[in-house]
Amino acid sequence: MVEQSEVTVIGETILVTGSLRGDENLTVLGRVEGQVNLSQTLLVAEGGIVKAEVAVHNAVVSGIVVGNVTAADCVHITATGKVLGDVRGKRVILDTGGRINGAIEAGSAKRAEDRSSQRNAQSLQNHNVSVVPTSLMARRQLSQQAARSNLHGVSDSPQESDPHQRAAQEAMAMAVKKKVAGKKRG
Amino acid sequence: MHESPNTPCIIGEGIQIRGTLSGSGDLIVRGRVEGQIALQDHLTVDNGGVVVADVASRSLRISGSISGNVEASDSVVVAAEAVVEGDITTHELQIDEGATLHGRLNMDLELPDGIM
Amino acid sequence: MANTVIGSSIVIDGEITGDEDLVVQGTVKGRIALKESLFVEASGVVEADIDAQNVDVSGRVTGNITASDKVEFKSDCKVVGNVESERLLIADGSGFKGNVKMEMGA
Repeated sequence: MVEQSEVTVIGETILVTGSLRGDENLTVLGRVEGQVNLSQTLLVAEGGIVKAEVAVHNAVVSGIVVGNVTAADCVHITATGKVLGDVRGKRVILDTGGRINGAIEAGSAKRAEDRSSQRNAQSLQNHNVSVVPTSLMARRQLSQQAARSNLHGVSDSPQESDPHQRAAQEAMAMAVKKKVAGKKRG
Repeated sequence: MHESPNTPCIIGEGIQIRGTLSGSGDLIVRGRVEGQIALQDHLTVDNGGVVVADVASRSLRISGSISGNVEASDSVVVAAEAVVEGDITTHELQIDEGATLHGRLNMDLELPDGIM
Repeated sequence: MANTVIGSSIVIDGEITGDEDLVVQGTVKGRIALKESLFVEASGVVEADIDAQNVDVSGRVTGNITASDKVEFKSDCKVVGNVESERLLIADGSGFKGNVKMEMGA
């Protein structure tokens, strides 16, 4: 009959009013009003209308959204997309032709700092490849560092984890441990 | 992009300007401009360029940093390396992946009847 | 025609209306009113009054069902609620608790 589908589709003639939440991708060809919470991707197709507060992992808007869109990762408004409301995401992409009317928060506030710490982290990372921990201090540092990056891993969702961010976090952890170790010695 | 008869004016990396910049022709900022910019044509803020000013122009391409409100009668392109703090008011807007923005976007939205 | 499928991890708290078939693999609480058919699949949980042309239940429904044509309870379904329709099929293995009202043709 109908095969198990990985994607939830709200058809053209369907109207859903109320709260919609879930752990899978959602494609809206019809109309959704109220609240949308997804841990995955919302796709508002051309012709689709979402009048709702949207909190998702990613959003791709080719139709109309009236309401605030907050994505943990990316908001992509395509050439036919229109958003009347605030748009917030780690990344926001607006194709020519698309329209946004509202507040925008894209990228991270500390972007310039991140870039320089990433450069430092990369050079530290390259250096660490050849280092073999022999001393107890070094082993303790590395296990504390691993525990710290695991902590970060838990709060970030697996899709977001980005080699550059992890490198920066590990570098920060290393720097903190070194400082603490230095104080102990002194 | 509007092609002006004049060669573009370039504010080099090592130049800092404080005041009001206005005129026709294209302007490329690679240094620092503080104050106000009012152009009839195209403003480019190159990667590394810093503009702390309200900007009014026909079109705008940002790869550097702008702190201030932007009003472009035609179009704005916010490139991947750009950092924009302020409002953007324009008709056509393109935001590339990686851009940092903090402010408001004001664009004409034609919503079909029966939406609200 | 687009197939509307509410996936298994989706929870809708509200109302669904439309002019096409609807497949529920997730959870819907509230109200469903369709001009076409509703399919509540094995993983589907519907806590709502249902108004559709046909209603096909393999999962769980708690609510009253009104169908202009046919209602079918498939094996292993669990339905608690009243049913009003022209035709009703209850398969062996269905769990059903409620009243049934069928139009008796003249």
